Amino acid sequence: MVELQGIPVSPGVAIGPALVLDAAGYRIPRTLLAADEVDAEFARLREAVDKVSTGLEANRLETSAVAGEHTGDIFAAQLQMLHDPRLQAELRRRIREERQSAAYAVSRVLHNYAAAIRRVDSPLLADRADDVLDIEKQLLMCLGAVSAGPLSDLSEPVIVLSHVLTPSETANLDRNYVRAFCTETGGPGGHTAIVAKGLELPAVVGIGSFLDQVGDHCNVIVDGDRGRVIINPDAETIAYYRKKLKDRRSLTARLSELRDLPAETIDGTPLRLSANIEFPHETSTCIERGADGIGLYRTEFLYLASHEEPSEEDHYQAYSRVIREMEGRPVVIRTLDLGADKMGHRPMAEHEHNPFLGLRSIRLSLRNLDLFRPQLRAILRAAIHGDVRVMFPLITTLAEYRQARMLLNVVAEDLVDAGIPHRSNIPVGMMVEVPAAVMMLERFAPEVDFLSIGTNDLAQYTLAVDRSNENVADLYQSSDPAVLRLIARCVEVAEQFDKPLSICGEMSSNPARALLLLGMGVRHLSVPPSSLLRVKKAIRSVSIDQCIEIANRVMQLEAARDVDLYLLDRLGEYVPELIVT
Amino acid sequence: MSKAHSRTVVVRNPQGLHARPADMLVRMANQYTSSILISRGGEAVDCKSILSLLTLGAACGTELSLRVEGDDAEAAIDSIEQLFLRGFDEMGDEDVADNNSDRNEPGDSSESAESVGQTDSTPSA
Repeated sequence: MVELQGIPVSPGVAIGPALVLDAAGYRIPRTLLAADEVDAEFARLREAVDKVSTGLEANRLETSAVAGEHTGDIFAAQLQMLHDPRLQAELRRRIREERQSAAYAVSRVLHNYAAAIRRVDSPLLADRADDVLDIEKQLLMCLGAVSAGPLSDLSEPVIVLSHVLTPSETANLDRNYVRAFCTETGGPGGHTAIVAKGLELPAVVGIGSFLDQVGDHCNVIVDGDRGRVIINPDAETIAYYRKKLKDRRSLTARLSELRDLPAETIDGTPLRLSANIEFPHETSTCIERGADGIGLYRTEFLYLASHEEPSEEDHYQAYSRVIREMEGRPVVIRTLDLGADKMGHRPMAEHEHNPFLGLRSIRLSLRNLDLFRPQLRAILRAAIHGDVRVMFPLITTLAEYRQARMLLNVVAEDLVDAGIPHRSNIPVGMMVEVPAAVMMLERFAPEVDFLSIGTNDLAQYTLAVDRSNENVADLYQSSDPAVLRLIARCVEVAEQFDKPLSICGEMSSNPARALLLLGMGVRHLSVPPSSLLRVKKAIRSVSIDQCIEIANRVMQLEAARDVDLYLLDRLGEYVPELIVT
Repeated sequence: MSKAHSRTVVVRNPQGLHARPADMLVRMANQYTSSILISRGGEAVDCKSILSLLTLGAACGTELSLRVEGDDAEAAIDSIEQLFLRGFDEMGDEDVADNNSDRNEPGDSSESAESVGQTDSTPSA
């Protein structure tokens, strides 16, 4: 039994057999060789190279005979790649000096080449990366390292263990079979974490190097509540977690009774409790759990989950579906938030040294109007189906907000001119995620219809912590007193200008932190569908005076850790059912 | 002592330095013992490594600098330059005759404007 500690990013518990992946979805565990195995392993590689080489040569002759020499040259080029002196030298170095297994070395080196080729600006040339991956696959098959297809053909429940999972890979996990996942890299606020929460998959990230300790089919427990991963658990541990799974199911059953009750405190202070979604199909869960609306619809997943760049029609169809299914409840659409850790299909801004401080989100949208315009048109067109509101992410300056709003007006005029049905009198708001916007909020407030605080980015930019970097992940806490002071200031300005304010960051999904936010004067929370009932349970268990007392006490504290410990204590006192042991 | 030769070449064939031209280039380079580096902007790669050549992403019109050093450097740089001038034998006859390397097929420009590269959201570790 091996116990590992990582960062819990999506709650829940799962028990099942391991499926170990490398970055591409092949099953290549990182195995290291003993000194006396190096020669034999290198010989195995030579043999595999010869075999693949013979195969390619046969393909070349055959194809040339059937389709002409020009077509056969494709295989000549692949042969050239296979025998590339740089490639061979690097493989030799990794096996002989770093003692990596041949399969692991092949997969790493060819992947690096493929990634470098994929990054070039010419689409035609970038596609040559496929040739490189093809060689990788053939070598891995000769080395006996690739059994079947990757994640696409699962037939039994598994727990996915990987060095890294990107947001789109996470989004494409087969939920029928994948029970949980854990990764060596990653941090609590990354988008992979958000997707995992959206899919309600227990997940632990940022574990550090551990894949070499795991083989396929090992039994694994993932504890997404406490960030624990247990490899080959003993009978006692399994029994403990089986009981935990059972308790969790019965809590879920009890919470589901709350769905039709209003989100209000004991003394009757009314609140709005909305849901954050990324995929249209999540709306049904939101309705099932009694959400008051969609407080944050993240639209970039339209880009990440498909291989085609979405058209205006794709946007329109997705939005219309969500809006219709919400039957008149408000739907707040956030415009594209691409860049940094969420890339679309085109190279947006290559080689940024500091992507989170770079061309991302609204900045990227305003620079790529061919990308932004179709989305804005689709939003205005879909607005005829219900209560739609739009907000712009990562607004830093007044000029940015005004530019975005003006563009929305221009797009509306275009639709009028073209006689296309739409509705343009929709509320327009901004996300408050950058400290600069908080400092200038008095100037923004008169120009916006509503404000929404994105605590993930606000914490990242306030604390100068890259939320996806596991080395500094412990510094990233949205309950940090500095972040709380910025939120308090937003509440104050919103009240002064009488503008609705909501919090849609991950912060409000934590029931204890939600109580704190209520005490600070926030009256609208938007949380992942998986958290709706837990947060509602917390809200319905306290009075607003108790929340204010919590907030007053918290504002005296000096560190995020103290804040969270105090909050956990209060939650234990007011809502003991929600404390998972 | 052999002296280093440098020269600038331009990719003229419409499809750029893709797999087949890169293969020809490596074969040509391998006929010489000189060390041959080819660079785009500041990034120089080994001309005898096809994988490295492909990472340059040299589309039609890209300027590349050659730097060749060794006993047969002069012969090597001449024959490599010839390959580029011939557009790796991928140009219509009239292109070579007119020496009009800027001309694109009418379909080419619109196609490259519309097609976008596939996602590669898998970072190399």
